Amino acid sequence: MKRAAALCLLLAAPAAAQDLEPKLRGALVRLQATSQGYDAREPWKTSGISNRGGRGVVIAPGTVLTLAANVRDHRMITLSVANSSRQYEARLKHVDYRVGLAQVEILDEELKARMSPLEIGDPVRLDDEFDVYQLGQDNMVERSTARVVRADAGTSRLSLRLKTTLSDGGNGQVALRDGKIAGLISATNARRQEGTLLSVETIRRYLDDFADGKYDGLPGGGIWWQPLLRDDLRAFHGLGDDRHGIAVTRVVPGRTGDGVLRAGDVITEVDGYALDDEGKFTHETHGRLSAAYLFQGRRYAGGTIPVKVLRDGKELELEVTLKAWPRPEQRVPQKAVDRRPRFLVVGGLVILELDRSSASGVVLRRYRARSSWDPPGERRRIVFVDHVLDDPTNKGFESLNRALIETVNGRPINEIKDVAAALEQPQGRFHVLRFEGVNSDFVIEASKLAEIDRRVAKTYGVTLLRHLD
Amino acid sequence: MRLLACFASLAALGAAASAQADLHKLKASVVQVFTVSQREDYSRPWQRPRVSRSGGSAFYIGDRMLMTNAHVVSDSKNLKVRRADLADKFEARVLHVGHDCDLAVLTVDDPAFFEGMAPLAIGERSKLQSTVRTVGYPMGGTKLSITEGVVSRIELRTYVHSRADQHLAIQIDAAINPGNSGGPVMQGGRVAGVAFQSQFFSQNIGYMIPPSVIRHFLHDISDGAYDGYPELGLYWSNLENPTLRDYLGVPKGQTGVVVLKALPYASCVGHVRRNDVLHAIDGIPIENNGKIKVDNEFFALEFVVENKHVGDSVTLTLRRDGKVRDVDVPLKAWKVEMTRSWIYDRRPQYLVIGGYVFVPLTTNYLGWSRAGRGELSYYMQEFYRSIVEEGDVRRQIVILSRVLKHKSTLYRAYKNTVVEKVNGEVPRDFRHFVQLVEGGGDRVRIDFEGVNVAPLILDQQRLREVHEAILKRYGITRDRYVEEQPR
Repeated sequence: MKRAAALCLLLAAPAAAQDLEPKLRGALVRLQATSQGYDAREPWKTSGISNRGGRGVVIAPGTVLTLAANVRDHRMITLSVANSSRQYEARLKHVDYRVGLAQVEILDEELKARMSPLEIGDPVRLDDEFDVYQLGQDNMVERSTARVVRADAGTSRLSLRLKTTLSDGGNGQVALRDGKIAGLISATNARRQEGTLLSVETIRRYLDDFADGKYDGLPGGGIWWQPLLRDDLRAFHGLGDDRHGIAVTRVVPGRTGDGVLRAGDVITEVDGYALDDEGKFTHETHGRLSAAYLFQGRRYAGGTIPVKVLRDGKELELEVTLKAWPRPEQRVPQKAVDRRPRFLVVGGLVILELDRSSASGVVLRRYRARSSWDPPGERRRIVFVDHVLDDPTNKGFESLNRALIETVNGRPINEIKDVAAALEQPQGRFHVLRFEGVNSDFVIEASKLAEIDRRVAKTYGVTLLRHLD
Repeated sequence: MRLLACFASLAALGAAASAQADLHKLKASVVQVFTVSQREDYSRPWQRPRVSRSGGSAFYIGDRMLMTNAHVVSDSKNLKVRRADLADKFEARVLHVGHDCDLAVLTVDDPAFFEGMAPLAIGERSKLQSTVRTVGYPMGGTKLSITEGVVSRIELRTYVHSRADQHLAIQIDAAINPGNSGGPVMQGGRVAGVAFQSQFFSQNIGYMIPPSVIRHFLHDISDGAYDGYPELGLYWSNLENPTLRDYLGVPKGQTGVVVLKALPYASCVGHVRRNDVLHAIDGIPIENNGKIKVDNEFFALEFVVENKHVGDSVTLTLRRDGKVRDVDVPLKAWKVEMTRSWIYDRRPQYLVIGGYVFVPLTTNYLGWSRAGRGELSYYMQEFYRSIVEEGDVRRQIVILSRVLKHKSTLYRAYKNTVVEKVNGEVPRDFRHFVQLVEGGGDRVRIDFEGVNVAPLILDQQRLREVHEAILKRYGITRDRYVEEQPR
């Protein structure tokens, strides 16, 4: 009785909300992910264990849709549902960090049967108002309101900027319109009364990707272009006042556009949308958005889209194949998620592969800034000594840090596995590591390496001396 | 015991008498310097900078020469000096200045100024814990001030005036305040140092330039020109690691360092190479950590150059391919146009073309434009490295520093972008850049560094039409200042 009164207060306003309530109770979910990552600089260690709360919504029998961030580095996921304090174990079904969405599977058969999925609704647009629901701390349904103030197309997802009454901690609250899902809240700022909504378009695109039984994912980039706003550049590219578009400056080999587009082309149309001189197109619902979204956020990897270009004064209609996001081939990849970073401890030297979070120091920064998007070629990864665990045998090298390894025993190092392989073949009595820039070679007696590694492991409690995948 | 005490009081008497004589002499030798200067404005290089006044101290070293700090007289437009025992100020002018060692020599053309002046002799390096007296005109006062302090440390230290050079400096526990700069620090009636800098975060710590650096400067200018210190230009690594010594074939009991690189534009290039082991420099053994022992104190091996001049040579004892040999290396000054030092006494170079302002990248520019914290300081570091380490064809980096708004320059988004090429050619320095732009034909294409920065296409015809209007709008009286000769 008491509980009913409380709900009445919360959901007092629209009459329709009253009918919604049982439906919502069967669809809203609170997630708790117990997560644990790895120590980035000493990856034999794990980082602290933390509990991360998040929200989700049931979209199909036994399937919860939530934000990818909610399950990052998880070791275990539990669920709770409305008006109950029980926790249920759940399992990650699929996650795409670029899209920002994940699907979690309900394991408990009884709960699976009890929940009732919500449908995905129509896109919302500028000025639309709707309600946002979540399960509160006590697993009671809470309602807030929101209004769209602008569209915000990133490259890989379409989001909408909101004015909202939500409190801080946007983590998968469900936007609802006409009883259907209108998006998931991905961020909020209570002080400024702002929020970000992951759009229906992006959610649909993600879910539809599974329709043919295989997940293609988002296409990656690869086309570098520049706006053509300035008169000098427009004249240079031979554009009159009636022609608009952007200039291609570079096409990364092996990636989207390679072999079709060329530096110097002026792109005038992508996937049926005309581009302006700033590289924006006019979306039928959301107005001016960046062309990057057309290449990377709207279609599936492996598909093709039509692209119109001006080349040497002639208009050409081309077909561009959208290549997959090249994460595994990227030379300086994103920080490792859901897995232990690769590493090697040799003679007290802690050797890592460069990722986009750890790039500091001038040499490493050079690689991060200039070549993280380059085709990887021979050098698939940047391998470097992060720091030194002091041992009598590495005396004099205490201050070696962030030093990029060029060769080990004369063999070029293109990824961390190469270090391990090169250590099988010492140069005479020694292992010799050579670095880029001004560092002395590091040498260690080959016959004593195992003993040194054992000693370093014992002294510093290194439980794992290598992880190479 | 009694004998000792007696001796002590006798010494005290003697000291008191000589102190009186000293004071008299100091009054006639230590002068106050009044400087009117214009610190160049690197963010608006076309503008003549505001006039500022400052002061310092100087002392007579004979031959109608006054010694002071470089920073007391740098960027000066007018200099006056006044003796403690004369009311009148005299016009002075700079004879020589060494920004790297923060020393300068002035003269006064009016012979009346030097009448009755006694030159102060340069003494020897003070011992640790010995007492010295700082003499000068601190904090704007007009009376001579003398404070006593104790020598607390002797070390190689960065001279803040140039922001980049390291020389021997002596730390004393007497405060050195603005105005003290350039004044002598006395010991036993002779100059034990020139007061020149203090520590920002602590009181009562001052630094003086030791006699060795003073003598080096005086010797350097004796031929009528200041050349500065020679540069070894060596990157080396310690040999503290026994396995590394073994690997490089260094016999047990021998010490030294291993050469990593000899920098182009400096002395050692062509004489030593990577993995040479340096055992000694000028016969002084080098320790495994790169230190040498001089006067019972450890210094970095580069200390040897402290007492050398351009044109002298240094003997390196090195091991290569198992053989030990002595190599004589003639010493050169390091002339690289792009420098990390602060630039004084030179006007900033610039070129305004259309509404685009180009300047060479300098430490001064980074300091003035507040761009120093961003991407530009990274480029500065990178290019400096490629110039000093790799001998890049570029001796100077040119940047587009800003865009003056005009209808012809709208939509120009970036500022502080680094010029890569002009019509496909890499400019070697600012002068060359200007030549390439001016001689580049009707359409000049300028490409920039960075992953995806749009080129600038300068249509000379259209620029000529708007050039004057833009200069007028922003009150730019001259569209350029370009040095005739590279320095």
